[in-house]
Amino acid sequence: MTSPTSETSLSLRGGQPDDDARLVALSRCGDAKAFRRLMERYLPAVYNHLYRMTHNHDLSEDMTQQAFVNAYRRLDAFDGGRSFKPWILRIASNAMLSVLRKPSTRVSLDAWDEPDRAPEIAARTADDPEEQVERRLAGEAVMKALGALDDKYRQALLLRYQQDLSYEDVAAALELPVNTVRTRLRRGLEKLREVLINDGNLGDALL
Amino acid sequence: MSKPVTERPIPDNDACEPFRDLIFSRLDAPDEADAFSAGLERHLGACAGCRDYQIDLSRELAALRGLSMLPVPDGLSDRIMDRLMLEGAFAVEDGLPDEPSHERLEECLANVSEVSANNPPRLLSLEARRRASGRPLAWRWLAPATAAAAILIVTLGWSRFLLPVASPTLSYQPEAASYMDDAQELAYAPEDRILDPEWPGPEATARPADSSSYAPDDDPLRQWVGF
Repeated sequence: MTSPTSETSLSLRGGQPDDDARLVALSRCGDAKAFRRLMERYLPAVYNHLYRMTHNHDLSEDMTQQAFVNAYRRLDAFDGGRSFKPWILRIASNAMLSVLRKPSTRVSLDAWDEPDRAPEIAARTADDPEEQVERRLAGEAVMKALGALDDKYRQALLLRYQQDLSYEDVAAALELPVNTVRTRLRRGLEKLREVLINDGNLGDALL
Repeated sequence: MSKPVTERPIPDNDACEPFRDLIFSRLDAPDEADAFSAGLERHLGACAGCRDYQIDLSRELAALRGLSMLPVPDGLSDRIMDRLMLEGAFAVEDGLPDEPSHERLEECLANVSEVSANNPPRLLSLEARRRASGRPLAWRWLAPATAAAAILIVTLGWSRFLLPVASPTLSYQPEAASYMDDAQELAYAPEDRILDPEWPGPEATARPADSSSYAPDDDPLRQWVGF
């Protein structure tokens, strides 16, 4: 008898575009290869979003694992006609909130004062040494300012501007109306501006 | 060098509120916003606070959009898959993972078929495929044409195209070759070796220079040939 894994994997190799809806359908059939492909497609987005939200590598790795385990369990609830990215980011956000609500979970606020590795990585991609320094300073300044924001603003800003989601997708990820998303984005930018001005970073670091 | 930013007041003017909303729209989604709002331009010309607001927001957005993506920790995807395996994911009910129930298999494949039907493969035009491949369309025929030429050469034999060999007629008919040798020998033989005793000789068979005196019936060559 043919196993569903081998049978359905054949359709992946058959030259069909392996869009998200098809990968989800195959995963629902128990196709581990399809789920791995789907996961690896969105793993960087989920991990980076969670890291930007918590500024903690270990915690964001645990939350990423939990998010994909939850996503697999709820695959039947995914609407194949919609985009997978906001759906998995919503599950990741819920996983993050449930972890942070546990009394045993202690996230040190000092973590936001630790140097961030991401600006160093961004700086390494610039050829000009002066540009490297500027990028690193800008990344550090904006990350530190993000850490001072309320979660709801930080989440909206990151989904929109780092994950490059549309208003509709941000609304789907946060389970909010589109108008509320727009208001949060604008307020979030204004609050970020206040923090950057108070830190003296807006004129110097973010040139 | 810009002035110390900490000295800059954060503007908070209700009259500026609608213009700041326009500034946000313009910076957030430039393609969708009315980028040429005459009223906003007039206001920006007169309001230093809103000009600062626009500059600050554009810097913030550039910094946010420029945040780099961190690499995913090594082995994270393997750890997630291992955890799912441990929890029994990918195992199908009522049997081992490799031997699911027939009903479950049919249900899953029907689901996949339905999804595939709703998401048909995108058919691209020839022009689009050419652009996607980055090669001129004519190059796409190179490989099939080469293969066809190779098949033709193998089928018809290398000798027709590449090797100038002797005619197989002469190779396999030695008598014909000997006749050719005789003919060549005769053509180049001296006059005294002409075997036909009735051959009138080259002087007799030479056509006179004055063609008006030529009489075909008296031509010794025609008489020798017999017509």
